[in-house]
Amino acid sequence: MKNLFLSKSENCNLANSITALEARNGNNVYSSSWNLSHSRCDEWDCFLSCHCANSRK
Amino acid sequence: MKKIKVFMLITNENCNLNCTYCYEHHKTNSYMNFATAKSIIDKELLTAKTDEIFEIEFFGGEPFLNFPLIKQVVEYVKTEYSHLKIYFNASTNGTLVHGEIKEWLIKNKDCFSPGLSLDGTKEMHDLNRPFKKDGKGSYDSIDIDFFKSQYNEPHAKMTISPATLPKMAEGIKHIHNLGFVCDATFATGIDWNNLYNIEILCNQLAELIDFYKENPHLEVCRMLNYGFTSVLNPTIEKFRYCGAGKTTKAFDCQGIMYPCQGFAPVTLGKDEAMKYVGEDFSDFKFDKKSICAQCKLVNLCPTCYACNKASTGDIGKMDNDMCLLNRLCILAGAKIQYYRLIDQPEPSIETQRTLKAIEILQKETFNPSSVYLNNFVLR
Repeated sequence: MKNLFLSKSENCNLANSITALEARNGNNVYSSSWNLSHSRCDEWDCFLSCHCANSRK
Repeated sequence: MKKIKVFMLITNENCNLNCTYCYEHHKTNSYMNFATAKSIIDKELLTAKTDEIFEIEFFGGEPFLNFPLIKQVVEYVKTEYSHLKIYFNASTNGTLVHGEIKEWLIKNKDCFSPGLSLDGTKEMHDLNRPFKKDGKGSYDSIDIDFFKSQYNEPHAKMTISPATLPKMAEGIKHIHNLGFVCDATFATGIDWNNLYNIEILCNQLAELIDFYKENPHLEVCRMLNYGFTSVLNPTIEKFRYCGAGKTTKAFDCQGIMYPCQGFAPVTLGKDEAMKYVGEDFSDFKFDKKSICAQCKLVNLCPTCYACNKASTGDIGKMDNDMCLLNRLCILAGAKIQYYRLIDQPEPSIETQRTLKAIEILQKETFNPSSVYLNNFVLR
């Protein structure tokens, strides 16, 4: 299972990238209000996005 | 995004295959007639607005066993409802798509897309999907080139069973090599409770991570392709597992409405299915003590009411083993997305959000303090 996780250096790289992006764009882009106003679908239960036995894109 | 309303017509409850993992345990020789189909369509489209999009899905059993009905319905809808946007789809095993059916599909390909089930390589497919009459594999009875050549971005629905799990990565690569987008999912309602399966899955997922890293142009297969940013959302009070009963409905051969095919008599049997007639799950509420209610991954989890029902008998309770399989897939999918996004020259805000979600998933997917791990010790 270990190789499904990011490695230590990949995690470090990820953290650095996020820090740089937050310095540029801020961190309010993670808030639910931002998400709701930018969501492609206003219903989170959209059938087409689920992975059930019959779903598809 | 325009909302799509889906209604399924179960054209018949029979099938010419005997797939090892099929969740429809109550097949019969019932067929839907045109009068029933017409009555459903007229009722469903009576109040339709011109800006709505509809999808009529033909389901079975194998839907093309009732090809005359499919033809009649499509002709009727095209004639009577030409002012509406309506598309047709059929989930098919492909074995009957030859001759007359193939010619008819070509004529109607502007509005009709058959969804082919193809379970990987010939060896895998034949293991999972033998004919009912003689037990022989069905791979060679499908005109794969037809599905590939006639439709833009054709999708193949690949179901993974315990028998084909050891070749999962090879099967997914095969589907891509054939030119299909791969809608891979695990079989539901069957026993995955085997330590061996987890070990195999981890190895297969590691192989797929490398494969997608080397092929960044390919759309990642369904089971590894998540809307990761949904992990940033809080779990809302009115959480739903899926749109069954709300954005989709299924009608059996007698015209009775169920939330989806997973609750129809062909799946549950008549007596059990009766409990779900007309159900839309609008009253569904989590048991606050349930694993899902406290899971931070619930918004991106691919389970649904029907999968839960099939595997645990409870629409609000997910199968423990499936929960573990999904967590492993989420991790693998997150790693694939990391490779695709981390070196983007001009990352967008959406990329930033996805990277943040990936960071959260590294910690949360197997967080030792989570309810999940308190209740289920990893084997």
